[in-house]
Amino acid sequence: MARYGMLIDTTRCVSCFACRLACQMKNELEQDEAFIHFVEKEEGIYPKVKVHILPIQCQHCENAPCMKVCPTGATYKTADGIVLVDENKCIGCKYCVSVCPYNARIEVKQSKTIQKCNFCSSELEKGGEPACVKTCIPEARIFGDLDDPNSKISQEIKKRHAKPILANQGTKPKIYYVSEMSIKSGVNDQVTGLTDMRSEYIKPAGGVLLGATALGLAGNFVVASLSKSKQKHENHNEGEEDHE
Amino acid sequence: MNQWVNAAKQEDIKRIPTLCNGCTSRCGIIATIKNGRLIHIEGNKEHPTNNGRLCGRAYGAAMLAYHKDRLQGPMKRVGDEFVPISWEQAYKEIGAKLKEIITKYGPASVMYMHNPKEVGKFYGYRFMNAIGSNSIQTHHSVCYISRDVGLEHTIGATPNTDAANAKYMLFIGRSVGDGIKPSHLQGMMKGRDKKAKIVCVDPRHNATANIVDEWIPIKPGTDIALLLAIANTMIKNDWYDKAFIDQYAIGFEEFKKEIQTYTPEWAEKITTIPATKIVEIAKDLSAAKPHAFIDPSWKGAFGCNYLNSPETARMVGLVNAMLGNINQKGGIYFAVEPKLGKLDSAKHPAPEKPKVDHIDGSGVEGQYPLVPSSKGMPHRTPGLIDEGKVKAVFINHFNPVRNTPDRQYNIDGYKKAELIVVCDIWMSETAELAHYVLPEPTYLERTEIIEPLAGKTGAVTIRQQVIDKFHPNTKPFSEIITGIAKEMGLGQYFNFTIDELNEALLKPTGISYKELKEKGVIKTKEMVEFGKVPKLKTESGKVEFYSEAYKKAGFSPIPVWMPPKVEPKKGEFRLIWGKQNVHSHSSTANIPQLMQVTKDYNLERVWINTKKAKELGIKDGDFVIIENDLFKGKIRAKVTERIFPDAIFLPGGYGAFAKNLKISNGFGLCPNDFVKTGTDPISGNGLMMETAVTVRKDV
Repeated sequence: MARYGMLIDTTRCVSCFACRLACQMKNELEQDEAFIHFVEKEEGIYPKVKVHILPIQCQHCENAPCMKVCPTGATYKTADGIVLVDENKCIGCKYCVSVCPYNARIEVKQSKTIQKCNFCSSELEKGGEPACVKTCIPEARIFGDLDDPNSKISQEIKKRHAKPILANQGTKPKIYYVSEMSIKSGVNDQVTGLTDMRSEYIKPAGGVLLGATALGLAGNFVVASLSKSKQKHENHNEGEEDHE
Repeated sequence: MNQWVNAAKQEDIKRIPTLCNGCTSRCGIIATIKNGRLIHIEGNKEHPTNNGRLCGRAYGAAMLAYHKDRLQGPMKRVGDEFVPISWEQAYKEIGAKLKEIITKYGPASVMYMHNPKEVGKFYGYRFMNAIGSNSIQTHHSVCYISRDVGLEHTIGATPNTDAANAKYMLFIGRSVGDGIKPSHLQGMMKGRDKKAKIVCVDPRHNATANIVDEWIPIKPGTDIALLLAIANTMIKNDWYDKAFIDQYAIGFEEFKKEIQTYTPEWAEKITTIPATKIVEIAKDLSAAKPHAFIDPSWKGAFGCNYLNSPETARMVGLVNAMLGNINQKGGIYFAVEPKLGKLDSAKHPAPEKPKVDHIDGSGVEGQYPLVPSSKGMPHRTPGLIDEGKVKAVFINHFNPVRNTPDRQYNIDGYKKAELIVVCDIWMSETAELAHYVLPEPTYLERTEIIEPLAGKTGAVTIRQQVIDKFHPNTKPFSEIITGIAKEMGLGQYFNFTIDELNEALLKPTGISYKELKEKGVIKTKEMVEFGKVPKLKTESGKVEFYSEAYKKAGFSPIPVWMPPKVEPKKGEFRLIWGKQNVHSHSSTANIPQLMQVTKDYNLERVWINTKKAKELGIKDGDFVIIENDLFKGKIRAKVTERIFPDAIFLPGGYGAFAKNLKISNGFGLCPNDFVKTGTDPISGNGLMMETAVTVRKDV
């Protein structure tokens, strides 16, 4: 058995939305239904500025809170560790929406069920990869078996010091991020600075519960940092006299 | 249950390779067709433009065939309305009107405009040759004509870059993460993985700035000063490739003399980039030579935006030459492509190329001698109609009314034409002004001409029909032109099918048509010889630091500092614009999947610098009014540190006003509305960013 996971290297991401659009097509979602959403944070002052992009989707938590609260057992985990939703069992109660720290669940209108990223599990059976991984032009995404120490993903997680977000909520997420987000500004500061880029009138299924989600995020946000990026940030601070 | 099993068995699933149309890069895609309907696309791994990967636009465009706004059959204007007509009637009436105009005003008064792709070039040019007109315009004057002219007159042609092997890359105004061509972004990432240093110069912290080593903001329109100072620094310190220049260049001594005054300190005052930073760039570029380049870009800082754009482009060519990087690993190179065949002229006679001047003055002595007559200046056409020089305009998949500067100038001009024929899939702003609208099937429903693919190795590729026509009464451009030509008594020049033409084109490559259709793309034997400098396509065959052609045309033979035409006054902003990676100018805003991304992430907003916004009392998300003499528009502000303080950035591609583009109509603003029509005399560019506006909070 494998334990599937993903690495998202945000230092390669140009926020082109190809992952979202490929995912929508693969999963036959409507244009306003997306399993992948983006969180953006701008840091610094002109001209020393940096923007951080976090593409977020279901993190396929080992201890998935959504699974625990699902009253019908519609949310389940496969032997390979992929968290899935059984459409026939889902009653659309949205309990899962309220407990997901990543705001990863949306209502799919056609089936009136709550859905989310499924790692394109039907493709995996055929030896393929998730649509978001396959399409990513700068290869910001790597998919594979976290249990296999020789897999590309395991190697790269180590090499790039990738870490899950919200790692110490005890959910054991399986998407690992590489980000250059400043480690100086303090964890809470980073999180409150994150703005959900979706405009207010496009409500995700968990829209009403965004407050709770944000609180969850604020409590515990850990982003991986490259040692190179730490250095870079310090240089930025010293170099303020550079161009007006 | 049994019924279901049978149904599943009967499912007919096909996978067919073709070419994307989300932008005009034409990436390889494999379309999955289930029971005749397109259900999925993915990248074709064999296609060198995208190597199996696709940007977001591809997925949006894939559903175009089923779009509700599509035109379903030919239409004719009657008063202010369009009424459906038959193809026979359309051919007949258009043919008769064209003949009348040619007799009355001469063939040069018939203009053909398009975004040049193989079908449009082959059929469009053959038709123009047949009627005796040379008046052909491509979208280049509002895209990258300055780049092409500048590079043509320095290094002979526009090169590619070997980014994967570069040690230092300088991008000036080009954002490979916004105007995505997958191979460009992939090449850059490969270079980055091998520790290349990448620097982005742009007034805006664009989507690529995020993944490179350094973003250096510059005052918009002053890029030529940066390049002059880089050249000055390289010469002063003897950092350039002297041996290369001695062997492969002319006019370097004159250039050296001229360039003496362009010091980094001088350029700092103009560009706002510190002199020390300019020296650093020059040093880094030089230290990495010849595995270094300044990207030849597209529209960017020297495609079509400023009066000085062609001269900026010349400097890009010359600084690259000073790095000795031509056809060197990690440098720039001239792509190779396969030579395709021709139709048998005994069976299929070709019309002669007419020897008449281009009606817009392109390539004509005393007018626009350096503008390539194959490209022309489409942004000038409304004026030429107004002057009575152009009477008929045939427009193929191009939307000049929305995509060239100055809305009213365009509308007023085109309205005066005696005949406008537009081929498109839907009712664009230009189609709204047409007398006849001739709808094509979408790219998924038509087979086009085999294309030679240029690169490090050659290849041939094809766009082919993957689904039946969704609207059966639409016709591909090849058939439309053939139909009109026959009606005009020019049928002898079009006595072949597109398949016969493709067979003939493919013949010298030894590749079978059937195999190409199965694979979508096949490599050919041509290869770039790295390490060997080819004979350049300039007049002298060498790098021209001094251009006789420029001198003859009355321009400075050596690139010199030239300010942009418009200098925003105190309190004004320069309006800059560019592509976003989910859109391709105005051609994708009407695609629901892509427009939804814009709406979800507020991508239509105007970028304004935080400090400036504060001074004006503008908060993020506030509505602001952008205004100048030409236009006034309202839009929400994106307040950000990521832009040069005296500029605002509006994404291109929104602000549709065609009433039948139901998704994009009335959404966002289009930069062209704020730009007065104008032309640079050297390369004929449309001066797309030569404008100043005021911004205030909407109250």
